[in-house]
Amino acid sequence: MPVKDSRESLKTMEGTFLVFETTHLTMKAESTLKEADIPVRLFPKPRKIISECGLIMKVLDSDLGTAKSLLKEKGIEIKAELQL
Amino acid sequence: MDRPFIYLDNAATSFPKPEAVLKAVDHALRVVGGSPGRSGHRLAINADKIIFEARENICRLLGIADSSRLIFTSGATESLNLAIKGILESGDHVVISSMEHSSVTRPLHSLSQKAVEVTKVKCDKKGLLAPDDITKAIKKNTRLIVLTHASNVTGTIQPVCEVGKIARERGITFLVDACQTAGVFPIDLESIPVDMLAASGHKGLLGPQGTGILYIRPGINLSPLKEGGTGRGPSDDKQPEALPDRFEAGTMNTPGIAGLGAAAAFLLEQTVEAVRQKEMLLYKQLLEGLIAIEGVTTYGSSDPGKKVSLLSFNIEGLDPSLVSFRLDEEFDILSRSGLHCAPDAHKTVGTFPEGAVRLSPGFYNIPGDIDKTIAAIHRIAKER
Ligand SMILES: Cc1ncc(COP(=O)(O)O)c(C=O)c1O
Repeated sequence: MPVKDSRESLKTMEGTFLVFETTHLTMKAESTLKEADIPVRLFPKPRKIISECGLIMKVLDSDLGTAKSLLKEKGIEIKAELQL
Repeated sequence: MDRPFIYLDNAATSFPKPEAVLKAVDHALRVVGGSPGRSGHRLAINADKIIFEARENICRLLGIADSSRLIFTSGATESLNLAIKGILESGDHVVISSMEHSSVTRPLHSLSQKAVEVTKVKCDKKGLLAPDDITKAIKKNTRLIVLTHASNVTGTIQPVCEVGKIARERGITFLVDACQTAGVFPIDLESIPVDMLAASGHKGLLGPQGTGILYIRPGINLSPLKEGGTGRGPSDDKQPEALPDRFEAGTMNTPGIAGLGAAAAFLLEQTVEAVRQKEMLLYKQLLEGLIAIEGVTTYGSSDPGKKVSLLSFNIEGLDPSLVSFRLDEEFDILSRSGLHCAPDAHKTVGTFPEGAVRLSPGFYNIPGDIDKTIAAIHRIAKER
């Protein structure tokens, strides 16, 4: 079951992560994507990434394109995209 | 719920609060517990969500498009201090009305000792400002205009749109004190020319005490009032630029904000228009009752369309604090007497220094409360 597998994979801190400038924007991004049924998960930010927000958001690679265009449409700026 | 008193002091703080507000505060303390913007564990993230949702709800209520521009504060006093002290510098001029609260006049008084010049524009006896008088007071170095949306003494609604236009045409920042209107009078910040709007969270917005808000329009740059930890950010000594973090240093009042968010959700459901309609019916009932009593003088606009639900009055020959005391002691009616932290407003309407008695019916009052209040004031006036 790819869907289940992919939701499972949200639990690991490996894959593609989006970084936002503030906690407020991270919350806004999370609620926007969840409303669009795009599964995401928040993790504490690794030390090396500099941002006001201490959280990063994991998005499945299969959702990345849709997620990014939806966030752009809502004016939610992505500060960085990273692979862990 | 039956209470052994009639609460008519909603202009100071609304009481009671919606049940959902009590539940949200309880939930924040009992279940959520974490510190927003801090750790990365689930309770901290849940606290982040509470703050986020509260911010979104208030923005929906006030027509704010970008919710990152809404700052949570400890009350309107902090909001007004931040807005005023964050923008004014030595050599600047500021125009205010004669109806402003101490939370505007006192910060300005202290700034006036640092070479900020203040012009107070006099309003008429009903507390109404003539926008032309603002235009006349503007100088080359006018940086800011501050106006209360509705006075907490007269309840008179000021022509904020007209004044906002005057300010905008001249590139002057316009700050509105919406303490007496937010939650009880429709406000759409998308469509009105207001640059900053301050309000208490605990009056018409029906949230807990210790909460307030400040909206800061994009393009308005303020220096923060307080600097410090914003949580998980970089470990340098510089206060962040990004909003809301720039103005929200320190651990936030999560339980209070949770309650305020729930209150905003409640108001969105009820609609501010319906709240206003309900309150203004009570107000009109009160006004008609009081003006019919011999010896009673009421203050403020006589046009209910230009009023919020708040009525100040005096009984000829009686000290307002005594009237307020007798209402409480003999009739279980809770009012507020004195100068209401707005001595200039009392000077404007002619009730300085003795003040007046203020009655402010709110969302949870019923017509029966007003009937009893009118009867009590009638008794007190007759026994003079
Ligand atoms: C018009 C007005 N401005 C400012 C304030 C101050 O608000 P807070 O007590 O929430 O700081 C109040 C109420 O006390 C008020 O009525």
